[in-house]
Amino acid sequence: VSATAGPRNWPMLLSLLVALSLEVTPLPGELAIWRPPWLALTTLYWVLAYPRRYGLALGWSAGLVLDVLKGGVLGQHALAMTVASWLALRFHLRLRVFPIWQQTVAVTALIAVHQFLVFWVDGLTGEAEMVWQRTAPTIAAILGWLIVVGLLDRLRRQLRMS
Amino acid sequence: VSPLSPTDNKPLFVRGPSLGTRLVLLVLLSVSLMVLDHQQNHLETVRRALAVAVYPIRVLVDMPSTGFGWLREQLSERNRLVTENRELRGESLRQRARLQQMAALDAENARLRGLMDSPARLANRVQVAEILAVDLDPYRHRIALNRGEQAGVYLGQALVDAQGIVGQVTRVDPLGAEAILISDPSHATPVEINRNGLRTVALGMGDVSRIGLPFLPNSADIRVGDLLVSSGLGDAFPAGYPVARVTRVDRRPGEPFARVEAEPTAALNRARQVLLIWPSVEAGLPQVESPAEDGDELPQDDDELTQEEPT
Repeated sequence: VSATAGPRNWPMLLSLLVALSLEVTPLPGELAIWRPPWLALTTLYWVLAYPRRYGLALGWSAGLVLDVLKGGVLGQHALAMTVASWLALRFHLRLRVFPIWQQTVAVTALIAVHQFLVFWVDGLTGEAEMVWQRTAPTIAAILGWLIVVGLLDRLRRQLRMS
Repeated sequence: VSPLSPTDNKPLFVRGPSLGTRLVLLVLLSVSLMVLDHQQNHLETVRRALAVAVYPIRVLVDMPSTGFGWLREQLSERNRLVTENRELRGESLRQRARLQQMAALDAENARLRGLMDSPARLANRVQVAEILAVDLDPYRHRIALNRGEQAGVYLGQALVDAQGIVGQVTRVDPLGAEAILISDPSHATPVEINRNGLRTVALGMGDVSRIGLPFLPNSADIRVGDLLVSSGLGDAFPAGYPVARVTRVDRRPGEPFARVEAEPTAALNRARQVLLIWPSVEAGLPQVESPAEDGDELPQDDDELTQEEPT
């Protein structure tokens, strides 16, 4: 029974590791602000794909690791990812049956909430000004989501994960 | 997420705490983490454990650029290497010649200071650290280093490169460290003007090519082209290292302070290697492999002088 056996965990862990690396990979100059929030997108993918197995705890722990990796305030990304995962879980029944373009719009909205929380904590703990560049990751998330879905759907099909 | 998995829908009856409860719990946990971490740095042990776990990711991400460097070394032509080698040897000779004078000046300085009964200047020990090719946050000027506690790096340690002061260490993990650049908006560097000794503070402006000197009155004796060196006040940086060169002086009669900007002399966003500075030589620290340390022309008697100095 696949529901009790459940999906294997290593594809999820591997994809999160790749996403973590992409979060800090050096990008040339101007491109650095356009980095899609890879870790948030990958986590949301797994939460939407297996809402019973992966949930808030996954989002929270992934966010905490990202906080340490980026050297920010502990809990900043953890908070943002928890809220984003919660929204995804809350609406997962609808999100999963959306056509891909509609799904992309919805996920981008979740990422916008995520980015706002990150920015908000930045503002509370230091100096942060609202400049248009702050919205760049949210816009980049549109492309990022299509890439994440394309790659991970294919991975799951190949591994015959239900 | 196209292939639906009908077996993995939300269960009809939820076991354990409800989704809302878990959300509230995790949000509260995150907020308390932030408060503890930001205000009191209580979470050093947690962070250090996690930092060791994520250090491999930083190294992994850094690997491509290190690999390209290695490949370029392997593939570069022999005569180019020979030329480079010759140039470096010439430069080394010139530097050594200047160091010989330096030795004499150093001795003279020590003698004069002795006459004036002022404490001798301490010798600095340095070690080369690599900046990992890792982007931490585009809105904060931080860098990740490949030397940590094991190499004796400590909190607040000064970083310089060949041209000037780069920044200081803000976090030390067992294997790596993080540092803040002098161009970060939350960083202030105590400086003095090399020409006349006028002391002030240089603040980062969030731009690697500019730092500001907001506390200079309109009547201050400062000109475009003046070199700013570290004043050594505040004990963050050793005195006398170049910091920046003044690029702009706006005297605004209506305002209490002039607008002065300077360009950091260090290659803040281009350097790949930095030097970590220890203000005095401590016993028991690992030996240095940096080329800057093996200068046998340097008078090493300073080391004995500083051996009993507390840090």
